[in-house]
Amino acid sequence: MSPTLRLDDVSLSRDGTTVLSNASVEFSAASTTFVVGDSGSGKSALLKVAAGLLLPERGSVRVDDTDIYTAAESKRLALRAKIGFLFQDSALWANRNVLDNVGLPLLVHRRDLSAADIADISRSRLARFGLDPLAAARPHELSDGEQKAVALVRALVLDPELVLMDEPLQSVDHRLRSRIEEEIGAMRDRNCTIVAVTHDEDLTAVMAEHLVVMRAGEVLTYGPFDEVKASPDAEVRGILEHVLGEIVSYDTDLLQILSGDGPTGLGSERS
Amino acid sequence: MAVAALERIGRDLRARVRKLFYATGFFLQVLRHTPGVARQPHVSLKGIVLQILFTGYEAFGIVALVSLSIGAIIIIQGIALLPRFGQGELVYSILIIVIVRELGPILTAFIITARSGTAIATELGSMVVSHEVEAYVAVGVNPISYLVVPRFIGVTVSVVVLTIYFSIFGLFGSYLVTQLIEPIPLRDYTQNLLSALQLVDIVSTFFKSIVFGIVISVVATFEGFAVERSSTEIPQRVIRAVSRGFVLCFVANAIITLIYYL
Amino acid sequence: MKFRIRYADQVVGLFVILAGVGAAAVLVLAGVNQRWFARDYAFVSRFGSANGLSVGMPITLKGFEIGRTSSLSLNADNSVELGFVVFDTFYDKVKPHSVLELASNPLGLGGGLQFHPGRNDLQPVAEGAFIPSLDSAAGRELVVRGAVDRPAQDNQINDILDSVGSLVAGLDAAVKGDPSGPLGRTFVELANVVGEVQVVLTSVDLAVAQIQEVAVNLTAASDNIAATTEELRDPTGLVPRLLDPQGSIATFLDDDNLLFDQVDSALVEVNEIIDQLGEVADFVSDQTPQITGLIEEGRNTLSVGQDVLEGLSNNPLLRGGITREVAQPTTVQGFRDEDF
Repeated sequence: MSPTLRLDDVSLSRDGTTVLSNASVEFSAASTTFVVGDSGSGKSALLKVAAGLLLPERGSVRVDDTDIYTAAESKRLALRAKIGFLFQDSALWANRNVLDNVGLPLLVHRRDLSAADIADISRSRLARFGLDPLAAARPHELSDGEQKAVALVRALVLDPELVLMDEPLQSVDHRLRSRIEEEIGAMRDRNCTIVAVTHDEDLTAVMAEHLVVMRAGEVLTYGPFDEVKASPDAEVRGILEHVLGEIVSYDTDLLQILSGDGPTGLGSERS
Repeated sequence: MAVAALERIGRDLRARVRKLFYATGFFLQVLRHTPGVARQPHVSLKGIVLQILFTGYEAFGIVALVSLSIGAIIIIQGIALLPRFGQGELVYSILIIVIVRELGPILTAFIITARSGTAIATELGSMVVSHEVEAYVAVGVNPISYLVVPRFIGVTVSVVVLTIYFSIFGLFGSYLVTQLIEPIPLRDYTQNLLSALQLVDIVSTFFKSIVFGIVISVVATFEGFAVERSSTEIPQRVIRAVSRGFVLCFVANAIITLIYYL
Repeated sequence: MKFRIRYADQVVGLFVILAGVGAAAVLVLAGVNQRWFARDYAFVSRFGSANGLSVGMPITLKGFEIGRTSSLSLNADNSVELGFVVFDTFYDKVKPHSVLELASNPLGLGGGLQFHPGRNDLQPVAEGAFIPSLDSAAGRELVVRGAVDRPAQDNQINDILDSVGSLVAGLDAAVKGDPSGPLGRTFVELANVVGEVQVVLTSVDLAVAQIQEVAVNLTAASDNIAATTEELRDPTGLVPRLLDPQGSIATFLDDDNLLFDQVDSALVEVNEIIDQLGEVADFVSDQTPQITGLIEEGRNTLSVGQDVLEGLSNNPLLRGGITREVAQPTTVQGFRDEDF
């Protein structure tokens, strides 16, 4: 059973500027939620707080009923195995080769596996993305897109039930993009709880079941895709229009977008 | 005006105290995770071995060179100066005090700070910037036990080992120099040195080198982790790792020497 | 891959192990050199006072350091318990009847704890045994009995202490009136010297009287010479008369040797006086070494006596142990007063 992720009243500031203020949001079990907002609106911070990587100054983050920051260490460790996190900049470990990057989560959480097993599993997972030839390479030898793909493999190697992804399609080439989209689809089919931050309107349009709209560290609204899209709030509409481009304004044919012909102008922008 | 100044001082002080507590907490975390390091599956002994290789073995040459020349200098100066006071035998005590007890640990610490303290701070700083540290946290690896403890152990062992080499080379080097100036039998030389060498010298040196190793590694890793987002912070933190490392080593040295004489 | 990274384990292992071996070797060598590992045998002793004793003080046997003091404490009887150790290489010297001696000196230099082994072929005493010190009656008794191999005092301080000891004994005897002791002898000698001085003084008196007599003769002689000289000097007198053909020479030569006899007798007289003077001078010079010797002897005796008294009053071992002598007016003074 995939978990529910809840953020209550989360606030975070850095060097005196507010990054998140009283953000409350619930990512329900087995749902796919996309977090949208302008650059610097706190999307990445929200994701990191939700994944237990960024300690908020106030508020709580719960996975089902477990507070991700205050739980006992053993419980938190067990929780880590259930959460996959994809970093915006991949964050591969530079001092390990690709195979070891993928294998480390297994090494930490699957103590029953031998080193050979871990290598086998890692290799087969890489093969799914066609990355197995790069197994011995160091991260700096890979292109950004390849790094992203390896990072995704690493995030998913433990088959997590809760997956958080920060810009999964950023700087990814066409071939890998479709592989990643397939992988996300597969996760959805497995009823994983998926949270993604993206500027990619195509992906949002195709995958998003729920939307979280953020502005300047605040969660303006969240809810099912259609409800949010139909929000009368001018501010929400403005952001959606900005992020999702024509989808809101012109009710474009979705099929056209699915076929990959749609504009992808904002895809490379950092959040 | 005065109130504002007071307020600023107060705020500054509070920030400092908080930082101090934070640093202490960091150190305690390191200590807490050190004993269990062998039990962590992902922390191989290899990491520690490599750390010793980079920090200890690769600094061996420079440490040997420095200690040989210092030993030589002491002998030359001592032989030139001490007999004038009728204290020629004192040169052995001076060798022991300077090389083994005082300069050995502190110079080794300096060399290691300059070589490895900077390297560690840079490495960890860039890991923070590229989110690698967060990636470790995300997969359930404690960065303290995985990144800090091997460096902590490796650097501390390296400083201890290099201090031993420093002492041996310093004393041996000075012997070679005496051979050039005024040959004395090796047996007499070692006999005199060994009589001048007190157990407390060895203990104090050992203790100092452990403390210096701890100071260097903890300061370097702490400053490395103190990098937050930008790679421009890295050089600043590296400088701080070196200067703080030096200052703390000096303070620790003074305290230990003081304790020794109490 | 670089060699040292591929063989990192071996390189680092060697690196660390060599350092460890080096440190261990230095430790062991220093330890052997400074006897960290050698077995020490502990013993106890007892002293009257902790003065001059300290923990860590070396214990010597004929100049060899055979052990060290390890503890000092004041026990219930107010005597000082001394714990000490003997190094294993010297353990066989700790025979029964061994004693400890604290050789101290008033200047605080060169003192030390000396160990005197028992003079026998018995097995060494068991560890922890009591070794008496020379402070105790038991220890002194062992020495007196000759059970202890206590060498002839092997340093100056001991020599001094020894001589002080014998002087004290002599003084003791002298005070008790035993003339056979050195001090007794000294006093006797002093009395003898005083007697001799008297004799000498008497002969000096004699000599002085003779010198006076000689002086009187001398005066007469010199008067004569003066008169003669005067006469010789008188321009109208002797010389012109002598030169005057009518006068003196002729007269002198013609006066039936009257003047010549006069001059001759005067010269004879002068000769006599000179002889007498020589006699006196001989006598005085004969007496001189004797006087010098006597004075020297008297001075020496007094200075020895003073040394003894000073030694007695300064020596911490004896201080207060002997009643101070009451100064006695010497008889010598009396004689002198009468004479001068």
